[in-house]
Amino acid sequence: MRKITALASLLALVSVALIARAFADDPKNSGASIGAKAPDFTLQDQNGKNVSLHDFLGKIVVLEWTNPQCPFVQRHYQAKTMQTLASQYQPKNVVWLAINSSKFDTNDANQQWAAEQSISYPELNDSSGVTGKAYHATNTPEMYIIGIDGTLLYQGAIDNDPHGEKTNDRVNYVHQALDEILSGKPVSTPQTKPYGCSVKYKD
Amino acid sequence: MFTRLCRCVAALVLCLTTAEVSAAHVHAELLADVSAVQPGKPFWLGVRLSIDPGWHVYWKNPGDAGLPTRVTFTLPDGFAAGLLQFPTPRRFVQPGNIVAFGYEDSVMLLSKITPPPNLPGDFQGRFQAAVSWLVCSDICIPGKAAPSLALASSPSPDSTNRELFDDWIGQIPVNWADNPNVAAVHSRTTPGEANPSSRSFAVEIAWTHPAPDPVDFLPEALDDYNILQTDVKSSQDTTVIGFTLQSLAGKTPGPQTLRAVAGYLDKDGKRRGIIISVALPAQDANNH
Repeated sequence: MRKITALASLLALVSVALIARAFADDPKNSGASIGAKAPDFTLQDQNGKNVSLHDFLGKIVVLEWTNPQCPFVQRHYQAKTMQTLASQYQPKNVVWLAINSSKFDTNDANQQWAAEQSISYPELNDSSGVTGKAYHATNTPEMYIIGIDGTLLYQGAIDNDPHGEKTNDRVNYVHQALDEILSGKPVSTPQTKPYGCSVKYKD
Repeated sequence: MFTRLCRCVAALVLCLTTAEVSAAHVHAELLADVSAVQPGKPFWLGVRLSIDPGWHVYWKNPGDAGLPTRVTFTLPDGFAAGLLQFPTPRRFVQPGNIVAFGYEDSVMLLSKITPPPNLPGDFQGRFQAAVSWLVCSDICIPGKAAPSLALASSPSPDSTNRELFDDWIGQIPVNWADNPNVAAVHSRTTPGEANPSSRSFAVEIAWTHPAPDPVDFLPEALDDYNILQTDVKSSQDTTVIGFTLQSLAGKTPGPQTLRAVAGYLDKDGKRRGIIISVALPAQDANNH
């Protein structure tokens, strides 16, 4: 009896130590990390319908942090960067979700933007900023790719062209990563620095 | 109809000859610290941006968001422009802990211009600065301007805008060893959290007088690392800047140097900056 108690205590001690180490290992302010489980969320789309990340387990999910008032987002929507990617990969079981963590965001504004831009994917209202902060999203646009098992595979910029002036040397990191994921390869560029406007959090 | 056309043309001509150009929330001017140029004698050109209250433009490293302010000079034949100098910026923290480096109210970006040694006595030329920026408050608006300035040569030019140039030149960051307010700067790695892909550093500045407070940590852009957190503590005559770096996933950075500016207000309330360098050892291949 004593041996079992001793073993149980030892196991408990080791578990506590491991958990403590896990929290100590979590870098401050890093939000979701590459290779870790992407934080779950439930947000309203432009029609007021609840959309949860866990609805899409088993599919590749692309999260696009967005803000229609940001000139970087406007430039990409004029060039149809996001819309083209979303429709190109939709037949390959890739889900595209746009998230707006700006304090100004409303379902109505999202509906208007979706109609103006002929957007077929959900525009999610995160005006409280909770989901943005869970992902430590700092910019619009900022992109995240989540694998079919729910782990984060890419985080960062849409491409390597913050000024919008590259031609032959422009690399779209989302396009590159999706192709690699779909062909079973590791993502060669899993993390880049995002560019764009700051996310307009309320606090 | 004809009168209106004349007025429009007159306005256009006036616009083209002025050294000032306005775009949304930013007014750009090109100024020189001399009234005329001399063969081989360097002078300063300054692009002054006057910014509407509540708006800001960005440093060469904008921080977490924004775009660097850029200037490209077009000079008459034989003139050479030195590296663009950015005065010490301010550090802004926006909701969500988003850090930006930039300028409010006004800033003058500077370049030292060297005329050719064989400049003719009857020289007259136009100097132009193509400026582009992102100006932000709650929203962001990209902008650009191309102010220009005409200068001729003269054997004995006057100094112009002296106070203005001295003020802004004084705000350009200097190597800490060249600043009489700084006795020493030491940097070291510190035991940080047990995360294999992040490392913590501390930079200690020993001042020759009571430490200024606050001191802003203004790092240049790092391609391979994210800065997870920064803290600055000043006490007595010492300031300690602590920061933690995490390498981007998928990267094993080689040894490199982080250059940063420590920005502060001196005892006369003037913004100053000292350049500090921190050696970053190579990331171990086993770290993620």
